[in-house]
This record gives sequence, structure tokens and C-alpha cells, in this order.
Amino acid sequence: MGALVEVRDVCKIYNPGENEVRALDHVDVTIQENEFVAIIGHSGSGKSTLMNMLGCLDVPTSGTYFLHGQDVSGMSDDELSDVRNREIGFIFQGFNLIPSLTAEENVELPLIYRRVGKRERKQLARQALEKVGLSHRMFHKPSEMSGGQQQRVAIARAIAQAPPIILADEPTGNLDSHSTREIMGILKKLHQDGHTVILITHDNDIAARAERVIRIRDGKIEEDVMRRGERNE
Amino acid sequence: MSQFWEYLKIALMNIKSNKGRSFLTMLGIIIGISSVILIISVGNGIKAEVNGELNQMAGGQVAVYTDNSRNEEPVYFTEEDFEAVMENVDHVLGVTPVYSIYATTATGKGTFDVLMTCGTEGMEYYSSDPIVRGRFYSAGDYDSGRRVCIIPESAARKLFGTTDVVGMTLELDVYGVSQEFEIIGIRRDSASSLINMGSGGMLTVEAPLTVLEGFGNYVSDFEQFYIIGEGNEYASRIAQESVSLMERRHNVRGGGTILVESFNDALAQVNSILGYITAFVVLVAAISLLVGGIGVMNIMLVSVAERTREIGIRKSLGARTSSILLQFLSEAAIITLLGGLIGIGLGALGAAAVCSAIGFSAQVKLSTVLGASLFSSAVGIFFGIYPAKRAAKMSPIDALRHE
Ligand SMILES: Nc1ncnc2c1ncn2[C@@H]1O[C@H](COP(=O)(O)OP(=O)(O)OP(=O)(O)O)[C@@H](O)[C@H]1O
Ligand SMILES: [Mg+2]
Repeated sequence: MGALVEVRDVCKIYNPGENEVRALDHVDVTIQENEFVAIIGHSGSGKSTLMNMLGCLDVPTSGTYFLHGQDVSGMSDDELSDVRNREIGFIFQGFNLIPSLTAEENVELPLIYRRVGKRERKQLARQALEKVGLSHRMFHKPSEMSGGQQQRVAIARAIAQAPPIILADEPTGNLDSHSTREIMGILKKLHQDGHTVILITHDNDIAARAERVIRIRDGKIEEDVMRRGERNE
Repeated sequence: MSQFWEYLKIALMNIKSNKGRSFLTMLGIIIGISSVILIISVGNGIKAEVNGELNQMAGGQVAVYTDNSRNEEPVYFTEEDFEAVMENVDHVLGVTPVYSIYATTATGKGTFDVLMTCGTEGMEYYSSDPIVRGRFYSAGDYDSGRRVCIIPESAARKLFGTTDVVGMTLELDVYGVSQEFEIIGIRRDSASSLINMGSGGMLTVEAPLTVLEGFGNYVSDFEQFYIIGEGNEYASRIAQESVSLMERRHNVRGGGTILVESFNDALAQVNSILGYITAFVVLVAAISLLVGGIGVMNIMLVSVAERTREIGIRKSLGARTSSILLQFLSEAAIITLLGGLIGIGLGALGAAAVCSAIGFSAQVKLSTVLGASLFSSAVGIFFGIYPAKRAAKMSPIDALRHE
């Protein structure tokens, strides 16, 4: 079986023509199943652009992207929606919870779009919230929770339907050191449970917790280091 | 389908969290729908009432009259004509002219104005209210000009304080001439508000036309008379046959000299007037619904703009274009449906109020309610399409980046 993520010679060009920005410049990345990868780089280096590509939120200007052996680069909007729903759990820097919904309802969202029945949905949502230690906050709205708790709800939402890839863009960017440790602990646990975790960060300390670090600069991959043994620390 | 309930929940939640705004948005729909419901329910009430009234008052009645404006030799109907109709036309209960004259009477209870209604013995059937005591006057009474009369129960109570008055006499004064009448029958009061309205609340007395001679008021030529048929279903045939009979007897052919009006015609007329009123109100309501619909479109555009980030989140989690479209469409439809339901409630209440003021009962039909509900949701869907499409077309990254 091929790699989980296979990015071949991908470019992403914003504003083609005048004022053109090469956010990704001939990038090749391959990620196997159950890796824990950190993508690190300075601000504006193209991390979020790469993440959007990997998360099927955006399509490359050129090059190909195979996800689970499927060519994603030319897919329609609805096909991309289905792929995101099936393959990817997103964790965003700004949590991106829907403020009018409770924790449980937020976690149910991807399951709704997957047409999971109500009873099963509630059960999966509860399990996911239990995994992040928030079963006692199920019926609270995001505004009634701390930042760390909101991010844990977002993680529960990302893992509720057990997607193979967890994609986290600066998940700890808005959090204090205590919450950061908590979140990183959960991500590590998810990795141990068999998820592939891709973590985007500009923080070397956080990147150091991953077993593989991809350093990106000006839209190009500068360094790709594998550090074995980290896994069972 | 499970998604649909989610959208319903989301929509209701959004409406609840923006109560004031949602209500203002619904206002146009509420006004439009409530006015339609009001007018249709009142209209149905009036129609039912008038139908019932006319049937009760004049079921199967046909009026025959002459138009002498263009005749060199005017045509008048006589007793012989009435007899001819009785003999030659089938399913006829009675034939009578109706001649009304004002009178006064004084009893132990005071002095009263009375409307005297005179005709042949066929007038027994002119009113559908039954004789509850005594009898109606006979052909013999009519021919001999006996001074007998029939009064309704309420008149008996007013004049004598009791309805047990058969055999008593009533002194009727017409233009200074006074005559004594024997009361030979009591008619049940009419339940019909139209009939009661028609007599202006005055006491009514029925008497043979021939008694008028005694007042120095001899009537033998008539421009109009009534044929009371056995039922509504015979009305048009009776009308046809009577006209040709009269034309033959008076030797006039066509030319519109002898005319008929059955109460079916009157009914059709009332219905068509109601139809015009309804059409007008529906037009006004349509304009208000159009304005309301544009309001809904506007508020949905605002809602889409406010919830751009939510749309981005939903799309990133796997919502398809159609899911977002359906979410906003159902939200628009629910806003207008709620407005429609409120409008139906208000319209029905208004109709009940209006009708109870006139003394009718309003008729809110299920078909009207269903139609109004469907229509108001359709307005929401129609005017929600543009905003919902805008929401559905958003690219997930742009929407997520939106602040
Ligand atoms: N929609 C866009 N239109 C034009 N240029 C863009 C757009 N999005 C990103 N860019 C540019 O692409 C480059 C890479 O942006 P990207 O958001 O991927 O950086 P990043 O590594 O995530 O930075 P940060 O750490 O600040 O989030 C930047 O120069 C940015 O200005
Ligand atoms: Mg970024």
C-alpha cells in the first residue's frame, strides 16, 4: 500500500500575474500512516498554505496530491468536502467552534455530514469528549469554557469520526503553557492510538515532541528530519 | 432526512437568538397572510350565511316581473296569471304577489308600527318558517276577503305578552282607516338575521291581499309576483316555463318584457361580489408578501455575512454545497412559515372578531390554512435562494479566514 499523504511537485501561487506570491514552491512531501510530523517555519513561510492543501481545503496551482491513493488535486468542491469529512480531523489555532452550539453539538457536526444516525452520533460524541476529559462539559457553549477546554472540544470534534489524519494548525498558539502541555499530551496519545498527526507550529520546543520535523522556508522544504526513539519516550 | 431535522433545529435556534430581528422580518409575511386569512374566512362566513339565508328564505323561489319601460301597452299580471302558473307549471307550491303596507296597532301593551305583508294563500310558503299555532289563511279566506292575519311569535309576545293569541283580534289602522282582524295563526320566528334585518325590526303581519279593499286600497294589477317551488333544484325550470307561459298569455314574445330572477341568481351575484373583494385583498396581500419576502432576503444576506466563519467551519468538516444551501433555505422557509402561522392565527382571530360583530360565524377552512402555510414557506424558499446560494458557494478557506 502507498503512502497516506503523497505531495508531488506542488506549487501554490496566489494572485498569479502581477503581485504574484509563491506560497508553495515545488514541494514534495510523503507521510506514512501513523507518523507524527511537525511542520515548522517562520511566519509567512507557507505553513498554513501547505496545511490547507493537505487538508483538502484548497487545491494546488500545479502538481499532484494523492491522499490515501486518491488524486485530490482535480476534485470538485463537493468531492473535497467528502474527502475532508472522511479522512481529516482539523484542529485550528482559533478553535473554530460554532458559538451557538454546545460542546456535544459541535462534536456531532462532522458526524451529521457523514449521515450518522442520531443515537450513534450522540454516543460517538460522548466518547470523543470523554477521551479529551470533557464529558462533564458536554452541554456547555464555547463561551462558557476556557481556551484549553475549547481546544479540547475541537480535538474531540476532530477525532469523533476517527479520521486517519489529524491536522493541527498551531493548536496551542492561543494557549498558556499548562494547556499547551495538556493538548500536546492528547495529540501524543492520539498518535499512539494509531492516528497520523500532522502538527503545524512555529515553536521549536513543540516541534521537538514530534518524531519527524519538516522545516519550511519561503514555500520550499528546507529540512526533513526523522528522529526515531522519540516515540516511546 | 436526519440532516433536515438538524437544519430545523439550527434555524429555530438562530431565530430564537435573534428574536427582535426575526419578528420584524416576519412582519410583512404576518400582515400579508393574516389579511388573506381574514378576508377569506370572513368571506366564507358571509357566503355560508348568505347561502343558508337565501335557501331558508327563498329556497326555490322565483320572482317574475315585467319591464314596461319599452312597452307601448304595459303588461301587468293578474290573479288569473297566478292560477295559470299553479295549473300549468310543475313542482310549484304557491304563487303570490307580495304587497307591503304600513299600519299601526294599539293593544294593552302600547301602540306599535306594523308592516302588513299581503298576498294570496300561496304566501304561506313565501316564508319557510312554519306555522306553529292555528293555520294560514285559505283560498276561501282569500276569495271572501276575510279579515284574518298571521303574526310571528315575537310579535305576539310584544303585542300581548303571550303566544297563545289565536282567536284574538288585532285592530289595524291604515292611513286613518281602522279594521279588526282575527289572528288565525302564529308563525315561528325567523332565525335568519337577514330577514329580521329586512323588516327593520318592525312587527310583521301577514294577511290576504283582498282585505286591502276594506281600507279603500284595491290592488289587482301587479308588476311582480313570486313562485315558490318545491325546492331549489326546480327553480330554473320553473323560471323558464313561467316566462314562456306569461309571454303566451300576454302575447309578448322575447324582447325582455317578462323577466325572472331566481334566488340562485342573487346567490351568484353575492358570490361574485365576494370574489372581487377577495381578489383585491389577495392582490394587496401579495404586495405585502413580496415586500416581506424581500425583507427575508435582506435578513438572510445579513445572516450569511455574520455567519461566514460558521459556514467555513461547516465546510471544513465536510458540509457539501447542498447541505449549506439547504440549511439557509430551511432557515428562510421557517422564518416565513412562522410568520405565516402567526398570520393565520391573527387572521383567524380577526375574522372571528369581525364576524361576531356582524353576527355571522367565520369559517376558517383547513384548505386555507394549509394553503397559507405552504405559500408562506414557498415565499421563504424563493427569497432565500439567493442568500443561500451565496453561502453555499463560499470557499472554505476564505470563509474560515473571515473575521
Ligand atoms: N489568500 C492569499 N492571497 C495572497 N497571498 C496569500 C494568501 N494566503 C497566503 N498568502 C501569502 O502566502 C504566503 C504564505 O502564507 P501562509 O499563510 O501559508 O503562511 P504561514 O506560514 O502560515 O504564516 P503564519 O505563521 O503567520 O501563519 C505569505 O506570504 C502570505 O502573504
Ligand atoms: Mg499560518
